[in-house]
Amino acid sequence: MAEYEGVMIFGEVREGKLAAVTTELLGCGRNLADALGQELYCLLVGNDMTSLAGEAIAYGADRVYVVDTPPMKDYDTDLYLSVSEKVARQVMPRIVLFGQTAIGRDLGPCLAFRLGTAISTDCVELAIEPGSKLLLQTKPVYGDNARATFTCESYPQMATVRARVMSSPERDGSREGQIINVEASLDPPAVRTKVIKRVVEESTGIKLEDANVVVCGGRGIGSAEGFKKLEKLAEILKGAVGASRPPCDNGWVPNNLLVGLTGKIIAPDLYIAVALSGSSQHMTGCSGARNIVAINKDPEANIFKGATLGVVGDWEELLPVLTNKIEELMAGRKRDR
Amino acid sequence: METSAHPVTPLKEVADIINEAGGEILKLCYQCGTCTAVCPWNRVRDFIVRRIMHRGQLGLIDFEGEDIWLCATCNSCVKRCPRGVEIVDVMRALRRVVTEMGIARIPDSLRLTIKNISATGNPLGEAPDKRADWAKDLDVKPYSEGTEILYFPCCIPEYDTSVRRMARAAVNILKKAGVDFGIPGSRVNCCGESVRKAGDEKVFERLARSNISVFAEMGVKKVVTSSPHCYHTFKNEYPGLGGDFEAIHLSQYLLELIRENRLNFTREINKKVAYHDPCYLGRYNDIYEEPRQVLESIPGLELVELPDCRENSLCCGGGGGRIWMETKSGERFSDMRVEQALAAGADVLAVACPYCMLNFDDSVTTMDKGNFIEIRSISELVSQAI
Ligand SMILES: Cc1cc2nc3c(=O)[nH]c(=O)nc-3n(C[C@H](O)[C@H](O)[C@H](O)COP(=O)(O)OP(=O)(O)OC[C@H]3O[C@@H](n4cnc5c(N)ncnc54)[C@H](O)[C@@H]3O)c2cc1C
Ligand code: SF4
Ligand code: SF4
Repeated sequence: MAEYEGVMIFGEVREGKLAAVTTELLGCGRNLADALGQELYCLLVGNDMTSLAGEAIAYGADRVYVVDTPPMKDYDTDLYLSVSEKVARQVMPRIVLFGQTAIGRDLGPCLAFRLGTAISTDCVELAIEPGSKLLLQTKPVYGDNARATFTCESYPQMATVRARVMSSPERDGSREGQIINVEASLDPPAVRTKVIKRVVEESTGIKLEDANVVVCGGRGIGSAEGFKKLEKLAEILKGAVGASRPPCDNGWVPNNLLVGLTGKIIAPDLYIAVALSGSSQHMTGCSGARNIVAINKDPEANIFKGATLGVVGDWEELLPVLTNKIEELMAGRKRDR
Repeated sequence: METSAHPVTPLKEVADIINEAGGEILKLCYQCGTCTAVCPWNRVRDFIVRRIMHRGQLGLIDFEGEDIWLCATCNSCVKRCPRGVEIVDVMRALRRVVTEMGIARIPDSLRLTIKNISATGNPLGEAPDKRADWAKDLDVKPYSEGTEILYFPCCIPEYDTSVRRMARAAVNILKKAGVDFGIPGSRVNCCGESVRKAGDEKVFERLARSNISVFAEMGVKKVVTSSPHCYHTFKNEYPGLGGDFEAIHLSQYLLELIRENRLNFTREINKKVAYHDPCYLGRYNDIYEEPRQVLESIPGLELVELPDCRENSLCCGGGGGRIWMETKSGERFSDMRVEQALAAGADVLAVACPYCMLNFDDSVTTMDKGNFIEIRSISELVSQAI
């Protein structure tokens, strides 16, 4: 029986660069390969990615297998699966890793099936067991309340790895490696899906989850027009707008702006809560904020309990004053620089 | 998929897992569809309970879909099933497959809540030593050995400031009636009812065993609960795990106090009050009369009946862990219930369960009906009248 050797990671490209999850995989793959005393391979599938093979080497790969052809421009399960299978059968790596991404979740299990092996998905820790040299695959189970470690005795040993849990290595432009171009033998009848059109989910401005500042409005805002005023403040602070349940229910804002237990759970540096009472379900979503500033006309409102700073008053009077002052200060800051 | 082109291959393993997890009763189902017909979900959207039963028999459950998380465990279908299928137990078994085998995702908000309960003993993830904070200024003592009654408010009134009012009112009544009682301190946990219905049997057992031993250590003989969920669990599920104490719901206890002339009504409440039967008091434990009699003994109060009442009560939508999950606007049972109460001309919708209170309060807020109807617990109404 031929020997399975080396660690192969499946690389992904985002906006013309190696995806963050790919450099993370290269870092983690490098450690595993070193622990085995074997090589690290990277498989890159796509179109127009000539420079990226060198990048993969700079981030730790010893050999990069490149499938660069126009039909591979966009991800397609059947196409990608057939070339991945071909490369995996040729190279016979001991370990194959994917990112826990839309592509990795789809392609990883399909490839494992084709190769007659198993896969652990969503791993957060990988290591080589010193004695058996098997890959220890650790993933959260029971709703993140425990961790389970698996090994797999068939080869290749496969896993998908959660994004942002492994760290990317330093880029080292002086590293040397081998680039191998692989011919993709395309079999059009094997391609069973056809992309009819792409719809990009519309999102303007900064995403609620990523924003450092969130201006959140409640039922007291009263209308969609009212929310426009919150948007203005959010824009000045380079932040995002959120909402409690009633504004979402009433259609003043889209449902995906809901903050709370059953909406988004966020932890911005600054959370400005305007005309919302601070129900327990809402607080679950924002209590992780570093600072909460609350504006409410009711001094008894629950939101004041968790607030760093509270202002009792009518938001329609207070908000314009606050917005103008902040705008002034922000403008001043720009001039100073 | 069950289409004619492909023969169905029953997934025996999954069927076995469901059976093992407590769904063997499933085999009794003869597919009449009564469950689908009575399920409140079908008033707002499709939820084909019968089909879930069939798929369960075949082991063809869609574990990734939202269906297995919809059931509010209201027990309506169980009460009506001609074959005695314990449909709620089947739903619980399906959820167990997910929580215990990790084969699909638990809805985020539910997962977070289970994690909170597991780590801190309460669904809000608050500190255990703050459990008695709600009563700080009320001059009540923590339960200690020799006290006659443990008043158990449920985590929601203890930790959620908006529902606190139902427990504070209960304390006022118990004090005025001269009852010898104490409240839970930091060693007590959530009763675990929703965790169990959410499919996490292990966490449930851990909570239950811990409460049972703490109660035994403190010498608790009689527990009065605010929540029908705690009541049901203490009364019907804890004994199997070694629980040895009497559980009684506050509405029953209030009636006892009234009958013993220990409550002196001094004020009238001249309002029309509709009473909402909570599933876990009514359909689960056949308690329909006591809450009504308590309300009727309040001077001036006029009790009105809602269209779906008693055995047919319309669930508020909060059971089975649904109180921790999002229900879309337009699909909330509690909205329909508030509409029913308004149509019945009620000034007050009276509740006997903290989950109902959370849901109805929210419906009144989001529907902007605060000027037309109030949500009050039975304890608040009694407390106001004495
Ligand atoms: C299962 C379930 C899940 C839920 N999940 C969530 C969730 O994820 N997120 C969420 O937000 N809610 C959630 N809710 C709803 C929650 O219970 C509350 O109903 C909701 O958060 C209340 O929103 P609010 O604070 O905007 O409204 P209200 O409670 O009505 O508060 C409005 C506030 O605005 C103030 N106000 C009014 N006018 C003015 C003015 N001119 N100037 C200043 N202040 C003013 C008032 O004093 C009041 O405090 C959930 C409910 C349930 C039952
Ligand atoms: S009511 Fe009972 S027998 Fe009829 S379909 Fe439902 S579970 Fe089956
Ligand atoms: S218990 Fe209630 S919500 Fe669940 S399936 Fe039966 S009728 Fe529907």
